[in-house]
Amino acid sequence: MTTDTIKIAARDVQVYYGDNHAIKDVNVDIEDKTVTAFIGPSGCGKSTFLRCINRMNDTIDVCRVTGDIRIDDVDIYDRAIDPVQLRAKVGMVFQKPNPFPKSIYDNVAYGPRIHGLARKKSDLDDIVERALRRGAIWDEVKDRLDAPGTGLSGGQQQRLCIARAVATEPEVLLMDEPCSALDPIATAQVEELIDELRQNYSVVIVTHSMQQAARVSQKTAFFHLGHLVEFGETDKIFTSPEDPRTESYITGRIG
Amino acid sequence: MTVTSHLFGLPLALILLIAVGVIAATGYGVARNRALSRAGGDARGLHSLPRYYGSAAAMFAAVPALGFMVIWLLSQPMVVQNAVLPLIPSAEITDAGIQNLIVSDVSRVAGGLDVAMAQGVLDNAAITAMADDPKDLRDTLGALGVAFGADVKPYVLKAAQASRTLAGQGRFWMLIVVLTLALIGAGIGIRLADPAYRARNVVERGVLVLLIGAASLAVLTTFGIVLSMLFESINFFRLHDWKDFFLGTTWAPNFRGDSDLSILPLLWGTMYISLVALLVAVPIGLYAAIYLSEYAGPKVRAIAKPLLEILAGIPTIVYGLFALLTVGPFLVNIFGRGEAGVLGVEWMSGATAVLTAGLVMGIMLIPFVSSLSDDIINAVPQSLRDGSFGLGATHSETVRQVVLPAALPGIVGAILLAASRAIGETMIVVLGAGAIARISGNPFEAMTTITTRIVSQLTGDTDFASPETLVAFALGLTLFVLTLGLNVVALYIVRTYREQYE
Amino acid sequence: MKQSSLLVQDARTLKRNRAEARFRAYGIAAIVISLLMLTVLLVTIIGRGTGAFQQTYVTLPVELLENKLDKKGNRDLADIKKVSTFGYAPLMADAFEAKVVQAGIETSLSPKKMAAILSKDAAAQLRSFVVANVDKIGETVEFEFLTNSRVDGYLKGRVSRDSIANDKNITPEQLDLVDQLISDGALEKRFNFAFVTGADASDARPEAAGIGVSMIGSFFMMLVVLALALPIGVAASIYLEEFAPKNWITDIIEVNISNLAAVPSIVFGILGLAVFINYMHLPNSAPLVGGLVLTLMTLPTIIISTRASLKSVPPSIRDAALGVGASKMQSVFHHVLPLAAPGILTGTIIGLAQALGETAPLLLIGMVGFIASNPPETLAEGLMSPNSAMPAQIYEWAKRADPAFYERAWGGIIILLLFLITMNAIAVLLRRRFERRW
Repeated sequence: MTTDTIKIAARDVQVYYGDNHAIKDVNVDIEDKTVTAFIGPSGCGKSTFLRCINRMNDTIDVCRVTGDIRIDDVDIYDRAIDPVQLRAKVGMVFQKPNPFPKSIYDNVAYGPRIHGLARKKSDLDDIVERALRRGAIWDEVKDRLDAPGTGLSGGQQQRLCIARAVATEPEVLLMDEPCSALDPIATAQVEELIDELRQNYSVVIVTHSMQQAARVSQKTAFFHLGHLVEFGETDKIFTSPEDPRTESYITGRIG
Repeated sequence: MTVTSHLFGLPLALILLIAVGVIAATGYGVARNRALSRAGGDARGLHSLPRYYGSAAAMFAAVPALGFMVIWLLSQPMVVQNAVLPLIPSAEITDAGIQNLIVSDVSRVAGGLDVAMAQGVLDNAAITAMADDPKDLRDTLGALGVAFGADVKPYVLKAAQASRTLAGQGRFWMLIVVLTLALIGAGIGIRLADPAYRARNVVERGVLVLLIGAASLAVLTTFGIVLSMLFESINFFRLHDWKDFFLGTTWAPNFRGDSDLSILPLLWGTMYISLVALLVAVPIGLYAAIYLSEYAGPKVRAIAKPLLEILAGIPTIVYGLFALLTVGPFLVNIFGRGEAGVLGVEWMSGATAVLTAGLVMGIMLIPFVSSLSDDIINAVPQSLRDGSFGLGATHSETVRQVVLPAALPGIVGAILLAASRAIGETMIVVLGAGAIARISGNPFEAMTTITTRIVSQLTGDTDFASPETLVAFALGLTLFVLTLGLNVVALYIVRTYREQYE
Repeated sequence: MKQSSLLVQDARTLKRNRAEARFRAYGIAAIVISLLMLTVLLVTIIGRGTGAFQQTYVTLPVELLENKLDKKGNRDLADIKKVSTFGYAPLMADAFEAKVVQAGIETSLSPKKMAAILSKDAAAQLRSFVVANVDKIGETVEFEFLTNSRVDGYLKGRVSRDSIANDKNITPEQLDLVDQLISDGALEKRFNFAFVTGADASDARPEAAGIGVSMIGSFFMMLVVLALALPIGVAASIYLEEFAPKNWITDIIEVNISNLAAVPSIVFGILGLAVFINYMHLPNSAPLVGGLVLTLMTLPTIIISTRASLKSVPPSIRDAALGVGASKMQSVFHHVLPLAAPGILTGTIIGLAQALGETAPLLLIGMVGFIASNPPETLAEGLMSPNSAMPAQIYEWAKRADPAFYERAWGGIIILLLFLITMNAIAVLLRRRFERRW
């Protein structure tokens, strides 16, 4: 592994919610074209850290981030960085499917439109189709692109949200427990999709389910009480963890 | 037997109320003690607490008696009216509208005579003396504040006297029946006071009926509003052509009769002023709500929100005065004629104008729009905002393209409610809009509205036999239907919107 | 695929950020405009209304001449009462003449013209003093008289020497006299208790008009509203919230209540006129009728807020009461209602405040105009005898032609707002004090 495949590098990251110190001294290197899973018990800070990577925490008044997070060696908390531009590059999929109350087409076209990715209507049509295909939902919705996105089933909604996120051509895709609101069949579809997305993106996924982490990721990070306890190859973490806390968690004694 | 409406200087109804109260209280005491003594003085032997036995007796005594009294008092005027109808010569009744007018004259004369007798201005002998030529009666009653449009006719006086006699008899029988009912009720309640009797359940059922009654008062009020305006509106349409009212273009009431009474110029004024008000209130209120709910920090919100709400708590009369004495002259200073006008444009000649009333009403509606929109914007789930931010949208793009479209139905509902407020608003337009009915597009001119005309037709000397007075009820009914329609639609939209995100 | 560096904002992002800043500025502008309006409104009210709390008085010794007031000299009250207020005018002219001589004021005015700076109320004030103090006839008594509204306006800056050019009620010479009386200390502005306690006055005497009697009218109306709207509102809410089955009848009632809350207030005035006055023959202009109308108007507000308070009491409280064998009714009246009481009270106070400021329906039931000149003496009189109410009184003054009444109207607004602020402050305090988080 060479340094030029490192997409995201975090050094000494601290996050505070008001007086609450939520993330402590996190250092991590996330590789390009890899699926990295963040696991850990509830409230361990894995989602908080994920939201630091595209500065979603900026939208919370009381939240404060210190330390250094670099994407392609650019400090994303630099004053010159516009979070809006950053988020176009670092897409995000949320825990609960959150399609906008618009048509399926407009949901996917929303990002390209605000970022000005299409010059013509036909360009936009292409982008939408490509995104929906990559979201593995094109065949299901191609005949009803004008139908409201909220009318789809839960699994379809989440794949629509993934399509919406990839439509802006991000380089990193953050996924915050994307399957927690889905049934097993929809989960399987989304997991399959994540594996395909790895071809083009660096994917970071927060998950509650260790099985899911083992199934979809190459690297795994274990968070506990705001600390990054252990980070390494997924196989290694699940078979021979170094830290006793990691072992307790994957054997079901904590969390 | 007849009974006057006042005994010992107190209204008869009040005396009866006190009498029934005393009977009920006595019933309470007796029934409570009887139940206790039958249980051998030990309350544990009773089904319910002793006070429930007392309460049951008091309830039996008071409720039927008072209910009967209320029904009697409400229906007596109608019964009496029908009874004296034959006394009016059928030659006088040319159509149903005239009949109603005569009947209302009769009841007003009867009321006036009661007042005159109570104040000692007239006595029975004097009334009998003028039975054939009651010309002076108009002046006598006029001095007491009961004004008539024409001299009182002999048959009207006759009918009025008959109705007074009937009413007196009616009061006598009411007195007897109410007291009898109260006594019988108390007796039953006392007899039932037995340890095995389930007094609590009976009392609770009674209380429940009382609660239901209170809840249905709202429906009753609506009925009252509709019926009271409907009847008088029907009277109006008997005297005035409905086509002229709805389709004519001139409003020129003339108390000598033969008026042009068309709603269109008033409706135009109402709509125009409301539109100006909404043009002020909706953008400002909506942007204020967006800023407060999306951008402002908790400190700004904690200060700005209550301050905005002060604007909502200020009575409309204050806004009216503000329009008449501050905003109006200020606008004249800018747009007025001659030396007064800063711009020298001579557009505005008086302080009262569509713009004056519209602007001030707009200020009044700002907090209304903003607090409703604030609620609605807050109801949009955070996940939608996150989704938009996550795609790299700016805050304003998120608000304009995701939050507002999601909140749109709710905001439309809020604007409809604000429109209904604007249409029904009275004091600002009474003081700030002027009194000239016209259909014109110039916002610097004075115009008038439905509500101001209702006020002007129903204050001062009113004669409920003339279309000029009765038109107010037709206007009121139109206003009610208009605002009701807006409210129903708006409340429906808002409710469905809320349910969508619950 | 765009591969611009994150460190350089491209043109599109700059444009989007400018749009963002603009949008934000609109929001701030909206808030600033609203608060500016509030400030202008409050400054106007205070700036133009505080004048009403001060009034100009002249201190004048008047010799109560026996030959004018009691020609027979036998102090017979019946004879003294025969002297009308016109008979007192010469006394005041004489008093002015004496005053001018004593203070060394030079003026070309006739004594009668000098006395004309007094209010038309002054003669009546003098007469009622004499009627009450017959033994003082023949003595010289010091009086404080109201000046007329022009002089009062001159001291308050409303009237200037330029503005009276075409005014028949006052001349520049009279203003000279006023200036000299001020430097003599006989004429000055003072706090105006009569405005807070007094009754309305006729068109020609704005300086004597007060808001006190209509305040009593408002008080009696609020009494009626409180006595009716609170119990009925609470009863209706208890039924709808605790007992009502979910069916179409309940639905109709609920839709009805929320609609009634949005019906224009003037419609309630029409209802009051048609039902309470024309059908039930209750007296015109009576606070009782006003109170009934306002009750119907306030009920929906009280019901809505009471239901919210009842709803906020957790079901576990009801279950606990039912669990120890209380009936449903007992659980509601013994446990839920007391816990909801602060919220109900808060809602009621806010409803009352709303009713206190309401004007339109009162106009239709005749509670406007120069109605009552004396405060009512008994409860029955307070409820039944014609009276006005504070907002209607303000409206009445706003309609009159003399600008001196406008000052009264603004002053009345200050008093009305003081009441509203107090009521709302009590509501806020109650909410803070008793707010409970389950």
